[in-house]
Amino acid sequence: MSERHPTEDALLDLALGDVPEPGNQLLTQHLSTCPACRKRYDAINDSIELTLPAAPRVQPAPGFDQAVLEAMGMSGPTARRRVAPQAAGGGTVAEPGRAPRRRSALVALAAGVAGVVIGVGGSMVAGSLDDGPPAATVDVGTPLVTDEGEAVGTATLSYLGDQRVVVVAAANGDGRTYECRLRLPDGQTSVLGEWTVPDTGSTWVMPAPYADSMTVELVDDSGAVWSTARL
Amino acid sequence: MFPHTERASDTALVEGLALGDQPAALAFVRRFQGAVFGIALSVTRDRGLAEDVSQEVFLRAWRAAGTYDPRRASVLTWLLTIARNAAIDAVRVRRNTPAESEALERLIHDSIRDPDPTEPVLHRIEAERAVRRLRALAPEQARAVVLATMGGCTAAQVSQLEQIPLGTAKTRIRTGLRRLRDLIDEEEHHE
Repeated sequence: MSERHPTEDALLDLALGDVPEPGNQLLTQHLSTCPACRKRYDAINDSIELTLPAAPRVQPAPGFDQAVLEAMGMSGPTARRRVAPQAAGGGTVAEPGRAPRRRSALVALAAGVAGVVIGVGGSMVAGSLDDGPPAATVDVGTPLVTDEGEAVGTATLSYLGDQRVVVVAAANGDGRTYECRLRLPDGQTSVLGEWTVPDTGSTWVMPAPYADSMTVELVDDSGAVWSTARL
Repeated sequence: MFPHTERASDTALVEGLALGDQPAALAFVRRFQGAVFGIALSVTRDRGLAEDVSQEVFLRAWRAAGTYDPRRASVLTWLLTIARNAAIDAVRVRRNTPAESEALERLIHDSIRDPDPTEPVLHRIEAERAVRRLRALAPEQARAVVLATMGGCTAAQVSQLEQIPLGTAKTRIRTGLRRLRDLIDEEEHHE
């Protein structure tokens, strides 16, 4: 029986996730029975997989980790151990059900820190995530200052549970979108996220790296640094 | 069970995850969430969808943790592969992922710059190797490979973005990937 082997283009399309059904299934079936084609496909796929670590890191919104644990049924003091439901046969990963969005946790956190008074000394309490982890006590400290010397907010390092976080409170943003990045002493930068800052102000809590010192920079969409705070 | 999760190896955290140990699971998510969300965002170009995908990735990893084989791939590569596949599945179903040239240009730029120095050392080494290999490619091949792998673009989308014929796009991707394979083989030969 003669058998048609897939072309290099077809294998590339498969590796790029660009073969619709029923072609996808037919190709996959062929690869499971043809070692020569499997080897060609694996060479393409290995190159792709080993390139992925170069992808830029971006931190998700605060509360993501807790939302994942909640979806695993591991959140809360009574859920320290929960084994995942295994796929039949142990070799195939079953499709998970629709996991609850972490947005609710983010809203809870944002609501907890709403109403921050910018530029006033003292401390505030970053709100709890649902009813679980302990609240983080945050010292309101370093002013976030523009080039013109205008204080438009504050930035502070703190802890949420055992997660080191940076708390950025900003206002007078004219509803513009800013990228928040950290500049480390050696000049390297790390982007934490971006958000819109209304005149009424907003507060964000983001995971922070462990470094002796760092500068928080809010960068507008033209790439200009709007304000900075050195921590 | 895992009192020193911050210092535990990636593999130890996967083992803890497989056992359903909460501190290990939490440390696992925190250690990898930036990488997982980063690749999900690169492919989807949509923060909301990327968050959904990332959460699903960790659930898939949790379910598959018992079958993870450290001889086949590092934990980082294993997880990023799950993330890329999940993100591509999500955007193919949606069929309207914006081919935002600005976001993709930024992805290309960010993918070939030095890795984040705050990354755990072993992750940084993996990232540095991947970046070094990409930098060794001809620029047009590196662009095509980044778009097709981390950007989740099809060859047709690469063709459109780069304003080149489809055949040329496929050749650049294929030749770039083949060159990467040769570089990987050379690295393994020297180890």
